[in-house]
Amino acid sequence: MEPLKIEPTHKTPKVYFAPQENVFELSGRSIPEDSVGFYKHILDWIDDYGKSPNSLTEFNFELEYFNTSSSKNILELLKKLEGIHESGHNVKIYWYYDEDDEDMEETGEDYKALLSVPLELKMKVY
Amino acid sequence: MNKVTAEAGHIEDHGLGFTYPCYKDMADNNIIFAFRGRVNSDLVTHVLEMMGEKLEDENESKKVTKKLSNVMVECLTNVYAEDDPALMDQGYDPTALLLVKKITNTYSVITGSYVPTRRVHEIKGMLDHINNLDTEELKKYYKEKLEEEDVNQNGLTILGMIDLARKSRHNLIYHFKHENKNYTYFMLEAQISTKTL
Repeated sequence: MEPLKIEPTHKTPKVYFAPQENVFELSGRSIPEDSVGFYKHILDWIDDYGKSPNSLTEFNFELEYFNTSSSKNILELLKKLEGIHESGHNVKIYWYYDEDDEDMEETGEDYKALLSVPLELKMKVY
Repeated sequence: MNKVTAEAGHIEDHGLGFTYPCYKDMADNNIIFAFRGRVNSDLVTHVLEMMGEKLEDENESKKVTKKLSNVMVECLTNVYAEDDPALMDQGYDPTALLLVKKITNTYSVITGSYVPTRRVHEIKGMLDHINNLDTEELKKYYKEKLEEEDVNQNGLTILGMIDLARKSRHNLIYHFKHENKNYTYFMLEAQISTKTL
């Protein structure tokens, strides 16, 4: 399957989904005005990936900021990963947060509480 | 060179007379940052950079800087979510006001923008409801709204307000200034106490 790679901008995150390398990363800022438009491509790609996923998918979220509409799209992405997990494939999600960012930690806890897929919170220490 | 008018006995201000009262208002209210203009995500990025540099110059802690940035993102997102195109041809001002003030251990992020007058009752009800919830109830309410599949603008506004209340860890302060039957000026303040960070 072709990887999905989108370069980051000051308002949209870096997307690096490369099944052959077994690297899945969403990182940076997500504050686009049209978050539905931005995430549609990502969600469609995950739907395709879910048809034939790797035996283990380790997905890294390393977000700096995101707006409210992005938070809905991120939950949708997480639910799609949960679906892959529930269909019998191993999925692990890592939610990174800065040691100074209690809000990003709390958001990770919220998502974890809403999902059955394994989600581990990881503090970044500088 | 300024001219002294015989009648008034004062120096002509060349239309700059508003500047000093504006400065005085800002200084007296401890405003450390002010912006008026259209809000979009490019603006949010620039504001975060400017505030980040300012707080770094003032040796503010990373925790405070991060918290203030998170609250500002949420405040500005709500402002541009309120940028209602239906009002654009009714002569209303689509610009928003963003103010940041600091008084001892408390930062306040204040936004001002027009909202349709028909939405005032609904926004007030939403904010009163949020302000009546404790930390755990807010968390539960946030998760309920996050999971709702309906992603209309109203749903996003509620989610944004809940998120703002959770991040600031204070009740949200608001005020409406009725202008006419079409639109009303909406002022919202989120406070951040640096003592608890």
